[in-house]
Parts: sequence; structure tokens; C-alpha cells
Amino acid sequence: MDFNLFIAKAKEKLKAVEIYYTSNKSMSISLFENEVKKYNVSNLERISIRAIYKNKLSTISLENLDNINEDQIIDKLIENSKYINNTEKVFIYKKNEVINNSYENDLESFSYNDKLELLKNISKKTYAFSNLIRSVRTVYDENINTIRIINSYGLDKKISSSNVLIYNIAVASKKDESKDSYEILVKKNFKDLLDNNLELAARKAIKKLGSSSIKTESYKTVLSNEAFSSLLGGFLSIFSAEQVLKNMTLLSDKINEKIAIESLNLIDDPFIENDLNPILFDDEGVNTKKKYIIKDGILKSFFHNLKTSNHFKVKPTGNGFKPSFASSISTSHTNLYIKKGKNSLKSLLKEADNGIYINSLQGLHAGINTISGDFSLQSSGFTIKNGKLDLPVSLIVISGNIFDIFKNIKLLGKDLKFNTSRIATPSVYLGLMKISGV
Amino acid sequence: MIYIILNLKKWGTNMLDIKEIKLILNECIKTGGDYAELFFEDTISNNIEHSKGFISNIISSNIYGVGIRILKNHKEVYGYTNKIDKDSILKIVYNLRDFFENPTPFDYDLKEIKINKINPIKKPLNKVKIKTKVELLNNVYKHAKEYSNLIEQVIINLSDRTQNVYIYNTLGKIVKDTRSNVRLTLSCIAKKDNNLQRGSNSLGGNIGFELFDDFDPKSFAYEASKTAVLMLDAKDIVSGEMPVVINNGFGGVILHEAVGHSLEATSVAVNLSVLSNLRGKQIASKLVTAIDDGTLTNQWGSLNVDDEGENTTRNVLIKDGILMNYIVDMKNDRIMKHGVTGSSRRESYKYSPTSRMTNTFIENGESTFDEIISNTKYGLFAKKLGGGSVNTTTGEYNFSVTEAYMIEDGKITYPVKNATLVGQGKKTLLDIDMVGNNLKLDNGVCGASSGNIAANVGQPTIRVSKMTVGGKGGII
Repeated sequence: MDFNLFIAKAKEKLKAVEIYYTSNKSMSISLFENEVKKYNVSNLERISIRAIYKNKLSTISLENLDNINEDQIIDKLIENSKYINNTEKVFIYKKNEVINNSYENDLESFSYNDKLELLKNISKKTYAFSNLIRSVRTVYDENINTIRIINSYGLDKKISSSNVLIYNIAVASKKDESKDSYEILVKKNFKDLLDNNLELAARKAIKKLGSSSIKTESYKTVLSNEAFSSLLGGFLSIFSAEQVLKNMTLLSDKINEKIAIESLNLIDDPFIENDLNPILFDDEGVNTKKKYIIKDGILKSFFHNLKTSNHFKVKPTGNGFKPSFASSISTSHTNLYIKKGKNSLKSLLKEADNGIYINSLQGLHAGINTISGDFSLQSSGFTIKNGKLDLPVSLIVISGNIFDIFKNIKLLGKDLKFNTSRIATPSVYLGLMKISGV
Repeated sequence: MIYIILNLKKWGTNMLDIKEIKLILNECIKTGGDYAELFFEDTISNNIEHSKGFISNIISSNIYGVGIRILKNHKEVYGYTNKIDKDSILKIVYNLRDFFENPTPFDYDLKEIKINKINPIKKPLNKVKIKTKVELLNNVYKHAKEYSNLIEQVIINLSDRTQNVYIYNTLGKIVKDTRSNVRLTLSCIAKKDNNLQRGSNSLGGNIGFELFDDFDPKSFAYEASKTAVLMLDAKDIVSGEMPVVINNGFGGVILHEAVGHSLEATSVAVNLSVLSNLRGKQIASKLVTAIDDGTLTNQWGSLNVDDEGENTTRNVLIKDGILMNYIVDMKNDRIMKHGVTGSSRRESYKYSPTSRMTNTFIENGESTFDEIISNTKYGLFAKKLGGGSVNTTTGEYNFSVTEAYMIEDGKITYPVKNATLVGQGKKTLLDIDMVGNNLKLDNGVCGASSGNIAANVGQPTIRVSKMTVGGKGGII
């Protein structure tokens, strides 16, 4: 399909039109119990077309790119839009700007065998860690992506980038009990994966053996960096201007108000993460930029897209992303992190003295209420005894409220770590939290 | 099965004819693979969103491509692309088949198999006028809003998907099927001061638009709005261990998370399920009989054929507490030698298929709903569940509760909120001590390694004698 020709044709009937094109090539190798069990490759190109007809916006996504009936598509876009009757203003980015960026990668300099060797190495080390390790799965994944957004206002932005990933899952068994744990590494280039300690998944799995539940009570609680970042990730919609528009977030009228402890800074930075390539523009083609969501405990900004920034009369923040390829524009972060504090994990545990350390939360898609901020989540971790980690704990539920947590964090750690959703938090000491067990 | 003599028909709107397909399959097995499969998909889906009182969004999409799979014993290579031309597909095939050695050529004839039409379609979804869909949504909205002036927000989605699949494999099968999935989901938010609570409802099937022929928009909408308003007065649930009565319908999430996933061959075949190697053993109380049935007419989780082209089955998983069968796809059966249960599923051609659930439920027992409640001195009545998740290696699972009440002295008393329940799959079903006679199925979306699929859960009202309940409201 010739995008420019299609846009020119579409403009005869439509007020504005945008083509969002992606191309993705991927390869993955899965090693299970030291044998290659799966090998996957893919080559996918698809487009999503948005169009404005009489101030109504409709969307059509296509994967059959060799058989496009352009007139039919245009007519369908018009037909769909006729039934939309809300009065919200709609937007396709009115900007004449061209970007063509490509981030290099080293994937072609390494062969399939190089990649397999790395996996075998990690797998061997993981098994060798202990004879309690019953099973190991090590997976390598590489992705090369191109995104191009081109619209009838002259916008034409294209970016190509890649990433590689290895995850290593170890299962430890003792008598009738099995526990698993994983380590994951995401980088820009293959060579950055070579120096790793992914075999530590084994140690984590073994440490979980013999876990049990604990007495239902309020405990002084430390949340690990991974657990806290997953909790924050579950609640991201509280910062979305779309939710403000719908009156579905308690932060709606809290800009410039104190919502957290003074040392809490929540920053959205498209350029910070060295492990991954920067995100230059959002899914509407708006350039991204660094911003404070919370600064010194004060709410400074929401995540905006063109529609919400226009409604609230603020500058676009470049957070207009869509949750999946065929969906409409909503909001999302780029690289979101809480600025680290000064305390080591050791000192957080010491401060708690006797309590609980939670390093894993489950059921985030179901156990949280993004409107009230309440959550009740399955969790696991360790008891803290005299300031040190003691016995493994599992099948407990931690309950609380995210807004209360922001206001009551006792100590901020300094072990900032990005997860695979591009969110990073340090470990935190929360004080007393309700834990349900036996 | 009836074999149809194949003519040289072109597939879909594309250039591939049967000769080309045979050529591609032959190229797949040239290097030693013992099975090859092409899964072509041409899907049209539409989603209409109604929010803030208006039709706010209409999205149409076409999912189109091919998934190529080659097996040799337990090893699998998989590739996919949206470029359905001989050369693009062969490029992937050459890459994939390099993986195998020791060519062992074999011959096969491709014959189209006539499939069981378990899910007849009377009103094809892609022929339904947008106007009709809009009327349905407006109707539901009207009733949801009118229920109470405390209803602040109403969000409704009507999604329909017509999936055409064409499966060709070296067992000699050509299987063509159309899946017609339509689903209506409603979410109502009630507001009082700064308190916002949600209630929801949904309806779906593998069926045409006739799903809505006997539809009552008022009762459908009221159920969601009612929950939202009721939960405004809910107290935070107290925490601790207690008996839990789980209602029928979507209460079946407990079966789905506690044992359902752990019975899928995906983890059982490689000895990584907490329920591996327990066939014939007691894993639930004698009151529990659980079925996974992909043959129920027009149900949301049903299929005429699975995504390997095998017939779906009525699979008795547990009978009177004894583990009878696992959920097994053809590929994993190569390891398990259990018997294929027609359970191979995938979200789209972008995923390699594996064993998944269809319509999974606990069978009716003897008790009535009233007997179960009046028999409970103190506990939680979980009227509606949210979603959950499970780790099949450890068997640890969780699910949330969206509408609940306390039971005190055999009576349902005050509403409670924010409950999350956790448990261990090997233990939970053994603790079921009452099973009702009001079986109901309900629809959900299940996510796992082969993507998101339509799945039904279900059960009668049951009681679990002891479960860990987590919530913010104090300690028992």
C-alpha cells in the first residue's frame, strides 16, 4: 500500500486521516531441561487507520495488506463514524513534522549458535547451583520493530529499534513441594546479555521452599522494589487524564496538592533507561518529554493525550498511547520511576525490625480498585526477624490503599530497578500493613 | 466424519491453492519433522463502545495470517506471518525446518473433513446492521441509568468476532471452521460522596446475533447497577480464615484457578503441574464432579473443532472427587499418551496452540441454596467473583470478590467489599463440603501462553469449609 496515495485519496472524503504502521520481526529459542524444545520466528506487518469524518473519529485495523480495497476502507470508516454521537472533540495530530530514526543493534553479528550457547550456559549454571533444582527453562527472545505514523497534516514519523530478552525459570523441589522463581534481563544489544547472573533464579526458588502462611495480623511491612513497582503499575490509571475526564480517579481535582510524602518524586522520562532505546513519540505522533507526575510529594501532572490536553488546556505531554494495536488512543507512561531514596534494603529491614518482607504480588488485574485505591493481593516473601530476613512466607493477602501508601511511606530505598513494563521503584518500608493468613 | 473429494479451489481471496499448500507442507517435513500444520486465519472483529451516554467508539479490525508449525516428537518450531503468499511462507518454513535432522519422508493425502456444527449460527454477526447494535446498547444504557440516580457512569461494550480458520496438516486433514463470538459487557459505577463502587454483567456465546432474541435489557442492566449501589454501603471485609459460600455462575472461577489450569497438559506433560501424576487419586471432596465440555451448543467457550482440527469433547475431569482426565491437546499427548480431548486452542495465528479450557464447571449436587446458607454459622457469601490467577507449579491461586455479604447464624447479613481469597489447588477442592443444585455458566476471557481465549466458568452454589480471606477491615 502506498501510504501517501491512500491519504491523498482519503482526504477527498475525510477531514483527516492517519496511518499507524508497524513491522515486527522476532525470533525466540526456548531451552527446557537442557534441550531446545521450541523455536519461534515471526514476520508481521499491519496498519491501523484512524479517520475523522464530520468531527467523528473511527478506526480500522488491517493485516491483509496485499488485498486492500481502498474505497471499501474509506466507506467503512465513514459508515462507522456516522453512528458515533458523543460530542467530544477528536484529534489527529495537526503537525507537519518528519522524523526518521533508526537505532542500531548487534543482532546480525551473532549467530543462532551464539545465542543457543548463551542459553545453555545459563541453564547449566542454574542446574549446577544445587541438586534441589529439578527443572530449568531458559528463553531467549529478540524483537526488531518499526513504527511509522503518517497523517494528512504532513506528519511522518518513523522509528526502528530492537530489544533482546532472556528469562530463566528455575523450579526447586524438596519431597512433595515445588517452588519456582525467575530472573529476567532486557537489553538493547545481544552483547549486553553476556554478563549476567540469571542462574540466581535457582537461589530464589530454593529460598521459597518450606514456606507457609502466617497469622492474620498487622505487620511492619517492607515491599521489595519488584513488588512495589508491580503495585504502582496496577494503579497507573489514577494518573490518567482520561480517567479524570470520566471522573473515575480520586486525583481529579488534586493538581498542585500534596498527595504523597515530601521525598516522593514520580517521574516519566522517555530517555532515561539505558537498557532500552528511547521512546521518541507517542502513538499519536506527539513528541515525548520528561515530566514530573509527582514532585516533592505534590501532584504536578496527569498522563495526557491530545484530547485530554486540549480539554484541560495544558500542553500535550506525549503520553497518548494505545493499550493494544487495534484499540483507540488512551494514555500510558514511557519510563516511569520513583526517584531513589538514601536507604539500603538492609536498613529498611533493620527499621522494620520484626515484620514481613513482601517480594511478590499476584492477581493485580483483579484485586485492586483503581477508583478507591483499595487493594487486596496474594503475596509472598519472608518474615523479618531482628532486622534480618528469616522464614519464607506464601499464600497471604496484603490489603491496603495506594493513596494511604503514598502519604505514609516511612523510608525510601535506593535499589531502583526497572521491570519489563518500564516501571521502576526502590524498595520501601511502609509501616504497619494488614496481612491475612491463617 | 465425511470425506469430501477436494477440488482445486482457491482459498479465500488469495493465491494459495491446494497444490501450493501440499508443496508447503512437504517442504516442512523435508528435514525430519514428523508433523506439519498450517493454520490460516481470516477474522473480522468489531467493537462498539457506549460511554457517558453516547456511542463513543467504533473499531473494526481484520486479523489475517498463517501460523506454521512443525513437530518432531516433543520438539516444536513455530512461525507466523500476515504475508500469505507462497514465497513468504516458504521463507519461514526454510528457517524453521533447519532445526530438524534425519529426514524421514512420509506421504499423506489431504482430504477435507466435515465437522460437527455444534454451534449453529442463525444471524451472522457480520450481517448485523450497526443500527441494530446501537439500539441494543442504548437500551441497556437507559435501564442501567434509570435504576438509581446514584449511578454515575455506565460503560457498555459490544464486541463481535467472526473467525474463519483453515487448518491443513500432514495427518491428511483439511478442516474449515467459522467461530462466531459475540459478547456484551456492562460496567456501572455508583457514587455517593467520594465513594465509588462498581457492578458488572456480561453475556456471550459462540453464536449469531440471535443471542439477543430473548434478551431482557432491563434485568441485565439492573443486575449490574444493583451491585454497584449495594456496594456503596459495604464495609471492608474482615481478614482471616473462614468458611466461604461461593455463588453459582461466575463463582466457577474458583474451579478455573484452583485446578483448571493445573489440569492442562501444558504443565502436566512436563511434570510441572501440582496435579501431575495424580490420575485416579482423590483431589477433591466426594461431592465434586467437574467437567470441561467444549461441545455445549452455542456456549461462549464452545468450539466445533479445536485449533488442531480435533473434535471437542465432553471431558470428565473429576468424578466424585477422583481425578479422571487431564485437558490434553494432540501435541502434548505425544508425551502424555492420555488421549486427545480436543482442547487445543490459541488466541490467533500469532500463537502456537496448547491445551486450554472451554466450558469448565462443577456439576450439580444435592443441596439447595437456602440449605447451604442456613447451614453456615459464620462465613463469607461471595455472590460475585472478579478474576484471578494461578501458579500451576505451586498450585497457589487467588481470586477477587466483587460482591459479597457476611453470613451470620445462617442468614445473609451486611455487604462487604475488597475481598481477595487465596488457596492451594491441591487442598481447596478437598474442602468443599456442600454443593448446590443451581448450576449456572458464565463467560470470561482467559489469558495464558497461547493468548486470550473465550472461556466459560460455572458451578452451582458451593461451600468451602475454610479459606484465607484478605481484606482491609480488621481481623476476625
